[in-house]
Amino acid sequence: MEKLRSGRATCLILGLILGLGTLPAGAGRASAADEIVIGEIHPITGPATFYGLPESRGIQLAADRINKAGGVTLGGKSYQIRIATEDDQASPTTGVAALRKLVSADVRFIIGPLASGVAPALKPIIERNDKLTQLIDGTIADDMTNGKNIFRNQATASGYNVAVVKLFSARKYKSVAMMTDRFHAGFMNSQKTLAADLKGLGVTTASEDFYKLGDTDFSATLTNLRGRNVDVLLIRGYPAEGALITKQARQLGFSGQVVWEMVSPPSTVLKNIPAAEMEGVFNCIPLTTEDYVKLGDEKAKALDQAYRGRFNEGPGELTALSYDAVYIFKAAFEKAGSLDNAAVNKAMAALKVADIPELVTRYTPQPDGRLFASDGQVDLRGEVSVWRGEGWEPASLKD
Amino acid sequence: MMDPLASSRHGFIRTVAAASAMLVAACAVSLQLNDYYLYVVTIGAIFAVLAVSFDVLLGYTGYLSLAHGALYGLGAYICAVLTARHGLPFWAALPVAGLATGAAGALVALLSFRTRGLYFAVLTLGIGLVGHQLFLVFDQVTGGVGGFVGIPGPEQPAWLPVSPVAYAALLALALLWVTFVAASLFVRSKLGAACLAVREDITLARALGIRVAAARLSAFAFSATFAGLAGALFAAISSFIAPESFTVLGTGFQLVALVVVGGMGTLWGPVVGAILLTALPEALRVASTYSLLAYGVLLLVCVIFAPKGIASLISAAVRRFRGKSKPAPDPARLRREATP
Amino acid sequence: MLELLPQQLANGLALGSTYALVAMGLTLIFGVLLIPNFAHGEFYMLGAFITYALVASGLNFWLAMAAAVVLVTGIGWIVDRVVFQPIGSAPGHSAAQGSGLSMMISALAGSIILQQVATIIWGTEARTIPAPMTGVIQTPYFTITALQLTVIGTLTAAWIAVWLVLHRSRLGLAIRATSQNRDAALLMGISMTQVRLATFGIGAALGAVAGALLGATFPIYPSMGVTPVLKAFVVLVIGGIGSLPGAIAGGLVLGMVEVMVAGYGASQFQDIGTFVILVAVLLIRPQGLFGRAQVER
Repeated sequence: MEKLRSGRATCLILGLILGLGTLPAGAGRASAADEIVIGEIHPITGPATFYGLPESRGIQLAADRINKAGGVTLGGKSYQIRIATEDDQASPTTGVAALRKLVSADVRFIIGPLASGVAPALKPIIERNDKLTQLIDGTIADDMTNGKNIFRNQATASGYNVAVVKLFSARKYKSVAMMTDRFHAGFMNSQKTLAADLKGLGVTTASEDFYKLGDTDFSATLTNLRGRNVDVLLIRGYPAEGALITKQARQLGFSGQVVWEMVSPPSTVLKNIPAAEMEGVFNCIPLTTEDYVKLGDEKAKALDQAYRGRFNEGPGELTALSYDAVYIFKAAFEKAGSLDNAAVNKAMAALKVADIPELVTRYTPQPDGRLFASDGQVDLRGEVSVWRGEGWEPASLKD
Repeated sequence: MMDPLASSRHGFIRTVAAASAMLVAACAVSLQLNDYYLYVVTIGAIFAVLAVSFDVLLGYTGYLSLAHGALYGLGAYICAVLTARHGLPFWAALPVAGLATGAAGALVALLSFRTRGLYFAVLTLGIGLVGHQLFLVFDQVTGGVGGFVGIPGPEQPAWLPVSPVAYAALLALALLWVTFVAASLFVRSKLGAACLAVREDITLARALGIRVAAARLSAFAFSATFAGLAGALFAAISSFIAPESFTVLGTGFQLVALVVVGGMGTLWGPVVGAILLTALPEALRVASTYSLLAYGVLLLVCVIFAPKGIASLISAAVRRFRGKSKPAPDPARLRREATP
Repeated sequence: MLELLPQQLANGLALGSTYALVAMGLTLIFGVLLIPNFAHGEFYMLGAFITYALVASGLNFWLAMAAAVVLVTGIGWIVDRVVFQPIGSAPGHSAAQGSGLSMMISALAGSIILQQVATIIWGTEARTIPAPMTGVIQTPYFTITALQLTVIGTLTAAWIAVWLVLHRSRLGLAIRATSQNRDAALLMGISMTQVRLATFGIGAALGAVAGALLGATFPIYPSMGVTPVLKAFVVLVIGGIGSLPGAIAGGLVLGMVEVMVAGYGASQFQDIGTFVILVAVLLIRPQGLFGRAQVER
């Protein structure tokens, strides 16, 4: 009996090992003559899928629309876009493997990644490879682009901070207590500059505290706030902890203004805190897919409908960015008139906001009308919004 | 009965010869691979280094340490700081990282060996978690959560005309060879034999006058040293490291899984485990959103159907293949018998 | 700062009781069956998610919690049957050393599987169960929420209930006998199947209670059980493995220390402080606060 069992197990596991060895190489089939392959690297599995999956889907959606409308036209010839999706699980090593896999399959255009931990791991590889062009649609950590072959159509944390500074100067707050997610590279790196900017406005930073994603108890820190009597509690991180800190702060008797600086879809917020407790909270981030839909933007509404039609749920906060990224690539291909990376990089740097009418996101053009600054970064600024009733709406800062 | 020492020496030479042949074969195959497979080989080999040295501790002394994820990270950060901030060449930073991590490991060991069993595991778990937190908190040195950027790669000699990616894979395979040979030497030494005695019955070992403390301390320091070397190589070839690569849950538990799935106390089993568990997630990329689920199921299948690790299945298969008429000795058993 | 001390003590008590509640089920399963059940965090997670799903479909919170406890108990039995029993019974697993490790890896695999199944069903978006009560109790010295009081009350009730089962029933006698000496218990004719079912059932049920209650306070998502289960292992070791009073004392100590470090030290050192305490406790008293003199395992 024992022998039989171990024999079968041997076959099973040896078979598994052999099976692994014979798996097909590379990222599927080689590209056909009339198609352009764009690789995308996002977390499709693991804890970050809530943000990663809607990005991946936005890219798919944009590619399908472009293909249906005739594809990309280069020198009178039209090409179809094919998307090669790779999962990075928001982990650096898995992300590097994903990039290497795409490169080995001769994919030369990359959209992604989402995670602040993955982007810097990919950067040295992409910088050294002149046959790669990357457009980052996720991380907001500073210093990820180079303006040569790495671009980003997402804001930076400093872009978020613009709105915080605007809010503080309009409302003339005197003091602030900051609570920052210390696992968030973007917020951590920009913390010092933000504190300095606020100091410039005459705001005292009463305390800087740090928590981590998944923390559940902030009572000790929030209890200390009571003694300090600050005007504003500024929370920088993700909405689950944001909601929890807001709730606990109120329970422990904090009566000042709560300000968030985080991507926080109202649907997620409402799953974690009753609407009444959110009333009057400010948020300082760039407009998101949902905001554009609310503003009645036709392109955003079309994207929203297409997304719902195909995936049976609403788009994610970052879907518009990923969707735009494909159109930015298309515009760069057509402007370059070739698929040569050097030419595409040059075209990308020279793109003007007005060249891409399909963009959902409203970027501030550079002084000369270009989309990207010379370091490859778009100008996307935070706006102040306020929670009213069931969601965010643009805040008027005069009163 | 043969002279056990002679048999041991003979076995060691055979082991080194086999490992060398495998190294040459692996290098030859690697040079034919594309960059993606080379990267998988590199990461697999680095994890194999970790697994083999970890087996010296877990398989031969029976102590389960969960601090090795942090020790691996310590080696990586030491190499990063020495090469990027102080301009040391990689080849000078590598041994420093190894020795310093070994020393740190000895310190951890002195602290932890006051306990045993689950207490030891949880104490080292705590130390591993603190280590990971320290990488985050001391951001002046480590770059904090944003990571350490711009670590110079290992200098490549002019006479080796291969791509940097292939060079990295060759280095990782070479380090694996060194680790394997060193580990084989260690487990055949007097200290190695003492370690086995500690694993089997620590009270009896003490009673027999075996220097228990020295044995298990040296096993811990040995495994920490090679974890440091693996970390240093990982840092140099990645050129970027971040604390999340050195967590207890990600790396610490992963190591235990590699060794247990591969086969504890065999040294070569963990290599198989490392290759399998590194290749598996890559192969499962085709399963897309179900890849992690499939990974969990396959891990469970491995543990249930191969309780003594894949190494035992391979040994059994080899025995059967050689025929029942002439039963070949199980190499692992032979070695166990050879050690007094 | 000192005038805030009563509030910080209340914070520590509330936090510590959440740790103790998670650690209770874990220590029971480990103490009796010697299984390091890393999947306990997933019992906790499933308890929270099932309660959430039922509350979202309109059920009363307490009924939903009761249903979740029943369902998770069943899941606990399935996990034991699929993940742990094959290892306990398979030939070659008998050596205590190897078997413990294999158990740990299979628990890890089980935890990955349960997390992924939850991800496929519910996604990774964080959510919180609508709180069954929202009151805040103000005293001159400190404030505490009604829900926190409920957690403390539940912890006490669960402790009493488990104590009654263990010390006032035949089954409890069998369980205690098994935890003291498994072989002797088998020889005495105790049914291992019954003990196993009871222990796993109670352990999983305790996890589900913790999940349902804490899921009304904290956000829930598929990997929510990972950190609590690590902390619960620390609690176990501080308190002494397999000791119920130890789990409760250990949980409270951990909660107090964390709050004091964050309140009077710096918040980013909260985790480090925790483990410094762990190391200190083990150096002074290697068997934990309530542990029996070191049992060779």
